[in-house]
Amino acid sequence: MAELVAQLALIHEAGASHLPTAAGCYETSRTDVAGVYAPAGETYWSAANSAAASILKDAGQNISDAGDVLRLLAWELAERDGVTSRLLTRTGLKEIPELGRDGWSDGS
Amino acid sequence: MSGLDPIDDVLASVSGDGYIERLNGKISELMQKLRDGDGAISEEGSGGDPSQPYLSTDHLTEVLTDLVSVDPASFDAAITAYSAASLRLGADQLHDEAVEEVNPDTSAASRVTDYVQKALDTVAGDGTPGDPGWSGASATAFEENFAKFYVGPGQAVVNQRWMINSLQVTMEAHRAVHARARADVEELVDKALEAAGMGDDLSPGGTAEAFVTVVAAVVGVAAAGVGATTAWPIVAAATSGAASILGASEPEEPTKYDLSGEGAYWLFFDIQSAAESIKTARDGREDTIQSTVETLTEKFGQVRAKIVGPEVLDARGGSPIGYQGGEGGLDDDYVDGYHPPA
Repeated sequence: MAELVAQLALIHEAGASHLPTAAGCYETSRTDVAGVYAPAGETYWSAANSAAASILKDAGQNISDAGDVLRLLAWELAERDGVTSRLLTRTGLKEIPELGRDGWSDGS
Repeated sequence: MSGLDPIDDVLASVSGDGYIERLNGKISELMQKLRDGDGAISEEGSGGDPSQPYLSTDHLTEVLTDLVSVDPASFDAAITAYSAASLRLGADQLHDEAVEEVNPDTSAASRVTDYVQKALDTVAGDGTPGDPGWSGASATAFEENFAKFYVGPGQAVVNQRWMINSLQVTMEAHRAVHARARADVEELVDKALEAAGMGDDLSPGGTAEAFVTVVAAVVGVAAAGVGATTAWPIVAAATSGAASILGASEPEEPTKYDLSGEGAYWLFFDIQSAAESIKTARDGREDTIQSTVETLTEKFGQVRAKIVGPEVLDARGGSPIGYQGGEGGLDDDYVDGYHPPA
């Protein structure tokens, strides 16, 4: 059972930290591309940069969504296996994270 | 490659205000020589079409300075931004063999995908009825819509880098067009001064003669970005290869233009004609760059799914976390098919 809790903590960490970090890098890249200044006033560059930035935004959203999936997976597995309290202890959280597209917190 | 200075050397020579100050001095000297050489040549010219002042050194100066008005250094920030954006994608966050090959310093320990894969392995089970692992519809959706694109082959990352690198390389080509134009104008002015100085006199029938090299090249590099539609990843991953691609795209032999220098009167028109040739070449390359960028933009839309990958939706086609009505809950059966290890 201790191993299971460790596994769930690993899944939680991947979803709560690593993938959001990666998504954040995508957002930084998106900002870089969206902010590219088109020299000499050629506006066609703006359309290209906007298209590329939009794609990077969607890619970052994919990664963020995947992080949500893993977070949810960890807590659902913990609930199903009856180890929620142990996962809370392992992750240092006080309560089960609130999950939702409009934001979530670890409640710590 | 012959007849062309390396683009990096040209960029170093013509970027920044120093070039403008240097060129302005040469143009002033040249215009004075032309005026001294033929009384018909003056600052204001001698009438004719107002848009093409006849024998006006002020107008000829405007023509030349307009050709060099765009500083190649103004492209540097854009190119740096593209490079940073591209290198950030996948370098430390996502695992991909092609990216790893280009960036051998990628740390396996820091790669998110390796960590995520390890996490997923913990719930993979062994595929038996007693230990199916996370194997329901949601697991399949996650595998198909995310893991295969980002954790597995990483094709999405490679394609994203292709997208950004295509823009970067094309922007480098754009910068090179203006750099070559600046170099062409300076060579024109240098050769014109040489022609004026060689003549015994600058009256009609003088003997001075020089050649001006007109270039304003760089087309193929843009085509390389657009053409890589069937085998995109290779060029895409080779971010640092942009410069070599750029160099390979330029013509081997530049166009030569004759400054007869047979007197100030004819030298004036030779300079004007050469400047027009440089402008035509530059504008043609500009058109090619614009066409390429527009084609790239269209291509991004056509292959958007390949670059982004599928949306990470759950089995019901809704939010991956079952978010409904303002509440996210743990009772959405997301862990369908999972059973605790026996």
